[in-house]
Amino acid sequence: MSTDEQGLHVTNLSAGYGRVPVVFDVSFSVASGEMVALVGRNGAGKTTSLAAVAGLRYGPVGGRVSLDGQDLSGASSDSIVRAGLKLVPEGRRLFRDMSVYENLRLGAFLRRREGRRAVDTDISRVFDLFPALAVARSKTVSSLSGGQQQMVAVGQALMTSPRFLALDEPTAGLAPTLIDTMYESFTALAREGIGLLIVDQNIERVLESTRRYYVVDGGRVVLDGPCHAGAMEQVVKIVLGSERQREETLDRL
Amino acid sequence: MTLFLTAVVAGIAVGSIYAIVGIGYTVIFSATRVFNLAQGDLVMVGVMSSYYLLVVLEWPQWAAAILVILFVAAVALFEERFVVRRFLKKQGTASFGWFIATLGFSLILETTVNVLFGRHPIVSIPSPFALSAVHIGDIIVGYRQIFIIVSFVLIIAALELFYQRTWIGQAMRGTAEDRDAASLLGINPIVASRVAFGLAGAVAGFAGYAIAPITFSDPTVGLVFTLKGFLALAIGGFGSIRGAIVGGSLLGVTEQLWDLYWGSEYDALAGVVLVLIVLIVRPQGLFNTTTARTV
Amino acid sequence: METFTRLARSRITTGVIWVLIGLAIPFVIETDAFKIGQFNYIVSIVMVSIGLNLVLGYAGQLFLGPGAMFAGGAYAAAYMAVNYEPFQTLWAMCAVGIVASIALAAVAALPTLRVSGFYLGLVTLFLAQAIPIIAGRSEALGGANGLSLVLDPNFVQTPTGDDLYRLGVLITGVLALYCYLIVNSRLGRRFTALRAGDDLAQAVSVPTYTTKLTAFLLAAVPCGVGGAFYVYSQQFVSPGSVSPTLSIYILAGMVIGGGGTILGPIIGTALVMGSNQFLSSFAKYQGIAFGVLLIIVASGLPTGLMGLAYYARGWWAKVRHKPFRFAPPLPRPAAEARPSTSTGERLVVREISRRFGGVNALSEVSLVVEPGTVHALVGPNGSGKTTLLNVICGFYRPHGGQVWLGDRRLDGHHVSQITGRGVGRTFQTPKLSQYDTVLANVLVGADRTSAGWRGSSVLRLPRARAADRDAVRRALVALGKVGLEDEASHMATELSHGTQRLVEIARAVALEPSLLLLDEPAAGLSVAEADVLTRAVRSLAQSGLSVLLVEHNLPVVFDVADEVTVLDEGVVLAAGKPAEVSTNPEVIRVYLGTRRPARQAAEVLMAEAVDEH
Repeated sequence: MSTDEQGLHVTNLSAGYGRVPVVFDVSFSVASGEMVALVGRNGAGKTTSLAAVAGLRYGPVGGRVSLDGQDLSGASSDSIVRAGLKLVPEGRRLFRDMSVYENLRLGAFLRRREGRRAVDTDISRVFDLFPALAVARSKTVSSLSGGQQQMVAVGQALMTSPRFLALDEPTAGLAPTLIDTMYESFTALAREGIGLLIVDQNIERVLESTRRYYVVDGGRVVLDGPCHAGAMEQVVKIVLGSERQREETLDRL
Repeated sequence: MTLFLTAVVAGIAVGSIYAIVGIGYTVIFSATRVFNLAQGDLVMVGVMSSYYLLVVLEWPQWAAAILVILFVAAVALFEERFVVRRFLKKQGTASFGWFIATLGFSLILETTVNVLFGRHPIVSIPSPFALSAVHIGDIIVGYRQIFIIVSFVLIIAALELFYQRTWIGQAMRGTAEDRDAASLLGINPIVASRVAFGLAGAVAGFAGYAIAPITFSDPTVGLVFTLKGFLALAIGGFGSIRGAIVGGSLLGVTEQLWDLYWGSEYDALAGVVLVLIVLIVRPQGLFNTTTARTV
Repeated sequence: METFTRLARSRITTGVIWVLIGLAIPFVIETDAFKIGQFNYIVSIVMVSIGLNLVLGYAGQLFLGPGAMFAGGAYAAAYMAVNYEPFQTLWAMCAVGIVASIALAAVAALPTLRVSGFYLGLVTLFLAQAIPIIAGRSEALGGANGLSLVLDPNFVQTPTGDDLYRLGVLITGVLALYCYLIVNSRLGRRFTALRAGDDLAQAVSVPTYTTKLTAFLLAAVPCGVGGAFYVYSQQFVSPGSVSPTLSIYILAGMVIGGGGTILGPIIGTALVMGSNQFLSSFAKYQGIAFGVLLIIVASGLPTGLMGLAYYARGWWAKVRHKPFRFAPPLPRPAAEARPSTSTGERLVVREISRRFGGVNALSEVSLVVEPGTVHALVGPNGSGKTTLLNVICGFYRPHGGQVWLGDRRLDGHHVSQITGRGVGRTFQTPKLSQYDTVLANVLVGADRTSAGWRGSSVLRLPRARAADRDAVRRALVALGKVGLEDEASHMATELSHGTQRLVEIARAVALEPSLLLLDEPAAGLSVAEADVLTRAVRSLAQSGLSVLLVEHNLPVVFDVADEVTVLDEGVVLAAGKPAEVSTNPEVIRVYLGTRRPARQAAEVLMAEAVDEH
């Protein structure tokens, strides 16, 4: 595995909580401007994998992470953000007692030396992407609806000027039209060159928008490939099927 | 009536000290979720080093003030690095480990000062305000009291500005609320705790300098400050600077009034009685507004 | 012979040996009157640390000012002795000390415990600091010079010197026995549940407020005795003898020796106070040494010297290739368990609503669980499944609707009342006491249905002993139902995540509930563990229990459930038998989306799954 490779490459990732290993051997990659899906059932290890890649360590972590050739294995979470990889964790972890504007501004923490004007320009770009936020600019996040909070979370992530975004359940609890809006914005971001890795329990939606997918089960990647018509059925059988259906599908491959 | 108002003013002055200790806790607690039981001893170190610089070395006031602030901040940073940091890594363990560790550190501070200075009764530490006072109507208000109240108000205003306007201050507010989310934005939680301890130390150092002339320069006074600061927060509500001010003032005024009307025999109980009343009537403190859980 | 070996290995024998060691010291070390006075001082402080240990070491509640109770007891005893002749005997002073100490504890604890244990800890420290000041200013208490017993010429100290010391050691032994009896009884198991966390305690129906209060009041007894013994042996008390730093030294003694063990605080406090008294050249600096020790122990060695000893024994056993198991002193299990008193009852959830801020987590959700059946609650993440469980067992109050179990209404009651009335639950992340074995963890659930007053368990009255042995047997039976009897003596933390889940289920079952609430029990389980789980759940239902199972995992649901309710965004989407629900187009949409490929895939999936049944 050459480290000159462009894109985000995660190889043989292992991670866990304290003494409990959850992720055993996960590998995936995302190219610039590409949208990739990460699916699997609850407890399969998707969230743990993303957290480990982003530098949040709850237990020992193994494997390699490289970003556009730079080795980020074992790096701290703040240096990973500085390198251009931003995780939007599930559950919309925002600063609830602060306003929308303050949350967005804090997203630019690492770029604070660029000056107020540069930061404000980026904030208005976020408002362009999510017009519904512009009116709520000085409201505290705790008073917003779930959909608006999700927009703030994505917007805050964009303020870090990321090259790659990992999104953990970005549409959880959102109404269908909002989900459409979110995915449209993701596609727009991809067009600008940002690589996106999306975890979504809504398998259909995420497979529709992404170019490739990985299925994680029991802490390992059991299936991956380009998103095409036949993929859906296989993925559904592995993620939601019974033991027998899962094994049958996997054996056939 | 005059006596009453004099007592109130004195109470507010004393209460500002308690409030400052309480604010020191709040600053550290909000950034690290650790309740620094050595906070009062940091103030005590400020008092003792002021004594040393002003009386023994006979330094000028302004130089002593600056050095005391820097020195106590350094002691606080030392505490952060060697006493508290090991507990910050353990996320979410509901242990009393850091309580005991900070208590241990307060014991170290108290003993070190004792070894270096022994105990001294009140020694007239020179103050730029001598004993002069101002007369407002019939009330006598000492210059020193005015100095304490005014400078503490300024400190509090500066802190509020820091938290609301500066990048680091806002980053620390974020860290207080959600450490992981903050580190995902590139905010290094270790830097946040260092800044918190440094700030709390500087504030404690200034408080020590300000009250040195009117306090017993006695190492055991550290524990008293620690407890009074805690009571101020318990009354006013944890997590809010305003709460510390109100709580501290109420505590100080109650003590002075108790002294006035019931004599000083049992005034040590005044604080405990007040806090018990507040706990029964409004357990979260008078001003608790944040959604963040306290302890 | 068997009784003899058991006795030889028992902790009581160890205790007796230590007492003998203590008694022998004056023979070994040359003593004069002054030195014996110092020994007596150390003994009185050791007594206080036993009290501290009960609250902080076993019940896990913050107690920072043991010196306050010590001071209260000492001053009260001294005051009574100086002013009233009948109170000049050691026993009378001890009685006074106990009463005063308990009164002080009650005053400190009653209002503060309602808020949190943290406040209690700080208030006790405040009292430890305030009492010497008040005493110093009070005429009645002798002011700065304190109260001296020899002022009264009628006062005769008997016994004296060496004999007094030995009496002190015996009293300490009795207090240690007091602690031992409490801690290894049904009441003591409530304390250790509390130490593991309020959530866990409530889940096994341990009322947190009263249990904390009990621990505190019981701890006041050794503190008061220590104070009285201090006054009697030193023949005076002054503000200087009860300075707040003393509290920190006692804390240091307990922490260094090892809280949560009987012997730890005794040895630790003896060491700390001993060096305080005897290493006088070192005395000025000892605060630094103790402070450093406190920091080291707090961060690296939470169980202090006793913990070190434990590790050493374990290492030595490994070297000799012998197994070493930590064996807590639990009663031997009865031969047979008494029959279970629980029958399943019907759970009726009627139009429950619950909001958080502006979000409707649950909107008029209704469901029914019949006894003897397994009802699964499924839905995507965030649909409100765990919220509903939390409402049923009382962690949240509903904003609308009612919950009925049999003919009893549940909503509006406190958690520990609901779990006490027959609702057992497990959590998404297992909450087990990490200081205990698997059996001890489950036992605290089995205790709930033991008859009789908890105090009789402390006193080891015959009926209580039988009840305790029955509880141990019932705990073993509960472990058997999840296939874990062989793990009974393992420490809870040694087990895998999935196995810890099963232990939690055993604990809930040991409560003899009428309703079992399981929160995503299959998440993260291996295939084999999930198998054990489904078989256990099925057999529990067959024995009459009502089971409400929250699951995200559809295959497990099909395997186990008789009825299914599907939640989406807090609203019931569909309800009925698994086969019906799975072909419901709304359900398919929610899990998989609306477009054709997804629907087709889903239909194939569900059809095959139903076929398998």
